[in-house]
Amino acid sequence: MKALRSKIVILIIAATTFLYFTNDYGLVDIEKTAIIVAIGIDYEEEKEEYSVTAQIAVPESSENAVDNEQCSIEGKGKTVADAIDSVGVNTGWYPLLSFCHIVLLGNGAITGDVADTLSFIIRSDRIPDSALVVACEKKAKDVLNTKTPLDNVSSFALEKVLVKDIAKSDRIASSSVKDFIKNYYSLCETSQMPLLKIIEIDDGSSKEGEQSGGSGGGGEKKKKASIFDATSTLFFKKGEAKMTLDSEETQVYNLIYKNALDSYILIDDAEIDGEKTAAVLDINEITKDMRFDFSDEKSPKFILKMNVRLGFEDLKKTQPVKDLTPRQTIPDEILETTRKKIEKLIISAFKKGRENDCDILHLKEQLYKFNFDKFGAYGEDILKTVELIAEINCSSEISN
Amino acid sequence: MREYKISVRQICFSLVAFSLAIKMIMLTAVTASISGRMLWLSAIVNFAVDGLFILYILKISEKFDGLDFYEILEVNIGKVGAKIVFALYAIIFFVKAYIPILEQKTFIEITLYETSPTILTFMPFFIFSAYFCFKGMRAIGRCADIAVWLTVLAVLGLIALTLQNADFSELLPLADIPLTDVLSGGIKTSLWYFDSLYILFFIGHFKREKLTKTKILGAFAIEGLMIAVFTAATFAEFGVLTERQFFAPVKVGLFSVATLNIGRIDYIAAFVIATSNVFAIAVPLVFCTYCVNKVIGVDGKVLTPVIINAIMAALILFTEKYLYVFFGFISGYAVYAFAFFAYVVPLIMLFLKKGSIKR
Amino acid sequence: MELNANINISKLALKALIGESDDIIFFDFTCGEYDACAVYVDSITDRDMLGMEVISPLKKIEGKHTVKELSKSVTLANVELVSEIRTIADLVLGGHTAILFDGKKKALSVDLKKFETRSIAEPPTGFSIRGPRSGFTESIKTNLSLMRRYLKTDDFIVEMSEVGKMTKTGVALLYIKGIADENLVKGVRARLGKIKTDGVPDSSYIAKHINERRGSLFKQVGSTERPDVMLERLLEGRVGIIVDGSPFVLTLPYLLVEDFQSAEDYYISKYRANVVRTIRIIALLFSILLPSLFVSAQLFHIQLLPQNFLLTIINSIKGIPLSPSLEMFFILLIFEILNETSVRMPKYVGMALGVVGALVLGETLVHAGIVSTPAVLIMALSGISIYTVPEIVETTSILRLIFLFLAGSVGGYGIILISAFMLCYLTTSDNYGVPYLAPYAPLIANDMQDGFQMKSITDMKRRPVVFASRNKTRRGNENA
Repeated sequence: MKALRSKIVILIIAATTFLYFTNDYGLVDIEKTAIIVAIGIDYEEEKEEYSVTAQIAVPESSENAVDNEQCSIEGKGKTVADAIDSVGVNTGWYPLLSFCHIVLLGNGAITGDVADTLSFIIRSDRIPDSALVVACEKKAKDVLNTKTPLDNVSSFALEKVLVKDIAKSDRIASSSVKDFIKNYYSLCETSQMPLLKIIEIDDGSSKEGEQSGGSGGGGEKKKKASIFDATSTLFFKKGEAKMTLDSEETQVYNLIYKNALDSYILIDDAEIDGEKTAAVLDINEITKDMRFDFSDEKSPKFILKMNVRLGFEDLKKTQPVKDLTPRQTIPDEILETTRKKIEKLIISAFKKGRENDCDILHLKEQLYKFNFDKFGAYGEDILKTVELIAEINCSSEISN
Repeated sequence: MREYKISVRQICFSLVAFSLAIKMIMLTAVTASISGRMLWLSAIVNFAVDGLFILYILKISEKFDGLDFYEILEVNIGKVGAKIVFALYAIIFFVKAYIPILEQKTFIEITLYETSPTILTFMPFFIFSAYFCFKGMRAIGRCADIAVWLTVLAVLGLIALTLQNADFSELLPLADIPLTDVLSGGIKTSLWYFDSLYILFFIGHFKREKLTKTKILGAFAIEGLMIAVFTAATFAEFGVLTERQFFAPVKVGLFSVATLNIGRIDYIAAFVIATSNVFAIAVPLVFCTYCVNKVIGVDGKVLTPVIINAIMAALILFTEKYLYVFFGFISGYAVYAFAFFAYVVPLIMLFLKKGSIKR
Repeated sequence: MELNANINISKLALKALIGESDDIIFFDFTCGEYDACAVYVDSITDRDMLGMEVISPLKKIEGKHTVKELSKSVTLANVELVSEIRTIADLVLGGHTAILFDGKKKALSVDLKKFETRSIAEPPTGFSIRGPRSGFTESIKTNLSLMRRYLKTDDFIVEMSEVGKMTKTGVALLYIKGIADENLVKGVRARLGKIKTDGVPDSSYIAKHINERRGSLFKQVGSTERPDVMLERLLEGRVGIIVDGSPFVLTLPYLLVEDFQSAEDYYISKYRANVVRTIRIIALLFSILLPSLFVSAQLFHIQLLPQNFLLTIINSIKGIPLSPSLEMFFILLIFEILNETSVRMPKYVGMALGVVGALVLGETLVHAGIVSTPAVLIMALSGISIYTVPEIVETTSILRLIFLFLAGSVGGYGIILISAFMLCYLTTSDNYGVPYLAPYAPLIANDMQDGFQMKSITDMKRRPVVFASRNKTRRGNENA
C-alpha cells in the first residue's frame, strides 16, 4: 500500500511538472500586453462604425521610447468591443483594459443614446467602472493625440486635470462610468460628464526662425501649447446630450453636490469702500439642506438652503496692513454680491435644466426617497411644476 | 468518554468566518435583483429564521444529554433508519455545496484571471477539499480560530472602503418595495443560508459551557449584522446597478480614494475572503463526508472524501456552462428540500426519546 | 559469564570480548600479595587520576584483603564491584577502568571517563546582546551541570538512559515534577525506550525517532543551545532531552510560536520585544510569499499591480529570455548555491567568494539581460528575511519553493490553496497531545501572554494552559 501510495505521488509530481513546463496556461506574456490607459471612442455616421483610439502606456525610461502619436493605436469596428479587438489584431498585442482610467467620447459618439456607445463598458468587467467618462468637443482621437506640456502622455495630463484633488474639486463635475450609468437608470434619467475642450496657449518660449536666402533677419516664432479645459459640463437625458453648464454654473453645481474645500469664487464686481474691484473669495465651509415644501399643494416648492462661509483669498485693491490676512472680515456688500451671484447661477442652471428636461438637481429622486407619499401626485412632472427657492446665506469666516 | 471535536468558541468563529465569507460573493447582487433596495431586509429575514432554528436545535439537544444527531436517530429509529436519514442529509449537503463552489470558481476565473483555463486554476481546490473533509469537524473549528480574524478584518475593510462613496439615501424609501418581494428575495437566496444544518450536526460534538446558546446566537447575530451592513453599503454605493455587481468584494472598494491613488489594495481583502471561502465552500462537503461515513460505517478513511470530491469536481467540470440552469433549479426548488431537512426534520426531535449509546 | 579466579583466564576472556584494539590497555601490577591488572581504554581514561588515586594506593597495600577492603583504598567515590565479564567489558568501553585481582572472582570498576570537550561558550545559533553567554556543549555532564546550576530543587528530575546499540549514547530526560504533565513524561519516556538504532551521533537523530508524524515537513521537536531557554521551557511545563555528544538539547512538546521567540525577548523591554517579534513574522511572510506573489502578479494578475510599478517592471523585463517563474527559480538556484558555498567553503576563501558571488554575479546577470532587477531584489529580500527565524529555515526554504511552483503554474489561487492547506494541516497537527498552533488554534487566552506578542514577564502569572501543568501559578501576587 505504501509503495502504491508513493508511486501515485511520484506520478502526480511528474504530471504536474510536465504540465508546468509544457503548458502555456493560455497566458499572455506581459511584454505582449498593451497597457491601455485611455480609450477614445468616435463614431462615424456614414460608415456606421466605431473608431476606438487606445492610448498605450510606454515606460518613459525606455531607450526606444516612441513618441505620443505612436503610443495611440486605432481600431475600427461595428461595436466598441469589435474596435478594441481590432486594436489587438493590428498590433499583435493583447489589449489590457484594467488600467483604462479615462473613456473619451468624441463629438460623434455623443449623438443619440450614449448608453449604446457605453454598453460594452457597462456589460464588461474589462474596463473598471471607476474609469472617468468625458465628452469631447472634437474627435476623441484628436484629444488623445494632443501634445500637452502637462505630461508626455495626453491621458495622464487629462487625469491630472480631471482627477486632481477628487474630494476638493469644484471646477470639474467628473463622472465615472458607474456614476453616469447609475444616473442614467435612475428615476431622473439625467446624467452628466465634463465637456472637454482643447485650448491653445503660448507656452512662453520662442525660437529663432530660420533665415531664408537673401531676405532680412529671421523673425521670432511663438510656440503654442495645448491644454485641456473640462470646466463645462454636458448633461444627458436618457443618454441624449441636452444641455451644457458653463464653468461658473458647473462650479455652483459642484458646490451643491460635493464637499467643497479650498474652492474659490470670483466676484468681479465687488464693492469695497465705494469702489468696484475684483475679489476672490475662499469657500471654507458649506452646509446644505434641500427639502420639498408642499404647503401649497398646487405649487410645490423645492427649498435649497446653503450656508456658505467665506474668506478673503485675494483682492484687487491695496488695503491697510491690519486687513492683509485671509481671515479679514468680508464686507457685507461683497457678501451680498456673492450671495446674489450664487443664487443667480443656481437658478439659471436649474432653468436651463428644466428647459431641456434635465433634472440636474435630481428632484424626482429626492421626492421618491424623502417624500414617497407625495410621489404619486407630483412625481410625474415635478421638474416642470416645482418652484426652486434658493436660500443662500453667505457669511464671513470671522464675523464682526 | 467522547472526545470533543469542536468547542463552542470555534462554532461561533466558524459562523463568523466561514458562513460570512460564503455570503460575500454573489448574494448581494442576486438579492438586489429581487428585493431591490430592501435586500438587507431579505438578509435579516433569512438570518432571523435560521437563528430561530439554531436556538431551537441548541435547546432541544439539551434533552439528549451529549448524544449526537446520528445517535439520537439510532436510539429512536434504529441503525438502518438513522443511516437512511443520513444518506438523505449527505445528498442535501452535496447539493448545498454545488452553487457556492461554482460561484467561487467563477469569481476566481473572472476577477483574478483573464486568460487562463479553468481546469488548472480551480481544480486543485478539490485536492484541498478532500484533505479538509478527511480532517473533519476538528479542522473546521481549528481553522476558524485563525480565519475569523482575517475575515472580519477583510469585511470591515471592504465596508470602510465602501462607505466613502456610499449614499445611504439610496436605501430610501423603506416602504416602496412590497413585502412579497422581500420574502421572495429571501427565499430565492436562502441557498446561502441554512446554517442551522451545521449546528444540528455539531450537537454532541462540543462540550456545553455556560451561556452556550447566547454565545452561538450572538456570533450568528454578528454575522447577520455584517452581511446586512455590507449589502446595504453595497446598495448605497451602486444603487440600481447593485444587481450586476456579482463579485462584490472586488467591486465595492474600486471607487475609494486609496484604490484610485495607490492601486487595487481592495484586492487584499478580496484575497482574504477568497481564502476563507476556500474553507467555507468545503464545509458542506465535510458534513457530506461525515454523513457518508456514518452510512457506510467507517471513520477516518481517505477514500470517502476523495470519492465525494472527485464526483463534485466532475460535476463542476461538466456542468459549469449550465450555471444559471442549476442555479434556477436549486434556488427555485431545491431550497425547499433544504428547508425541510434544516427546519422540519429537526422538529421531530420534540417527539424523540432520550436514550444512551454504548461507545 | 562470571569472572575466573585465575587472572590470566579472566584477562583472556576480556580480551576476546573487548577486541584487539591497540588503545585498550591491560596494565599489570601488584597489589599486596595479589597480582592485579588494570584494564582501560587509553583514549578516554584520565590516566593521571588512574595512577594517583587508584593504582598508587593499591600498590601500597600489604597482606591479604577482600575486594571490598581493597576498594576502600581507592581514593575516589564512584567505585563498584563487578563480577560479570560482559558488564566489565561494557564498563571499560564506556570509559571505566576495571581492576582485576588474581584469585578473586570480583573486580573493581572505577569511573575515570575523560573526553575532550569544548569549553562553555556563547552558542553560535542563539546569540543575544543581553542575557547569559553560556551554551550547551557536547558533554552531557557539562550540560547537566549547567541545568543543575539553575534548578536547585529536588523537583528537578533527571532520568538517564542509553540509546544506540553501538554507541550506547547517554540520553537524559529532564523535567520538573509537579509542573510537567505526567502523561507527557510517560509518553516521551516510552518513545525513547522504543528507539532501536545502531548509533546516535547527534540529538537530531533522537528528534527524528520521537517525531509523531514521520513524513512531515514541519519541525516537531524544539531545540536550543541555551541553558536559559531550556530552563524557561522546563518551567513552562515542557520536558527536555539532553543527548551526549550534541550541544542541541531537545524540548517537547513543540509549538510553532516558540521559534519566533528569542531568549533576548525576555531580557529587554516588552515593547521592543513585540516590535521585533512582529518584524520576524513579517519577514517570514516576505520570505515565503514575496517571490510567489511577484511571479503570480506578473503572469496572471497584472491588474493587481499599481500602474507605475507595472511600467517599471515592464521596462526592466524587456528582453529577458526567461519567463517570470523560471527567472525566479533561476535566481533562487543561484542564491541557494551561494548559500551552500558560503557554508562549506574554507573560511579564508569563503568571504571573498561570497562577495564576488553575490555582488558580481547579481550585477552581471542583470546587465547581461538574463534576469531583471526587481526579481533579484525580491529574491535577495526573501533570502535575507528567511534568516530572521533561523530555527525553521529548512521548512521555510522548502515552502518558498512550493509556493513559487504553485504561483508559476496556478497563480494567485494556487497561493490561496496552499495557504489554506498549510493552515488546515498545522491547525490539526498535535504534538504529544498539544496543538501545534497553540495558543492561536485553538485560541487560549491565557497563553497568548507569550505568543507572537508578549506581555511583561511580571504579568505572566500563570503557566501556559496548553501544557496541562498541575502547578498553574508561576508568579505570586508581589503586592501581597
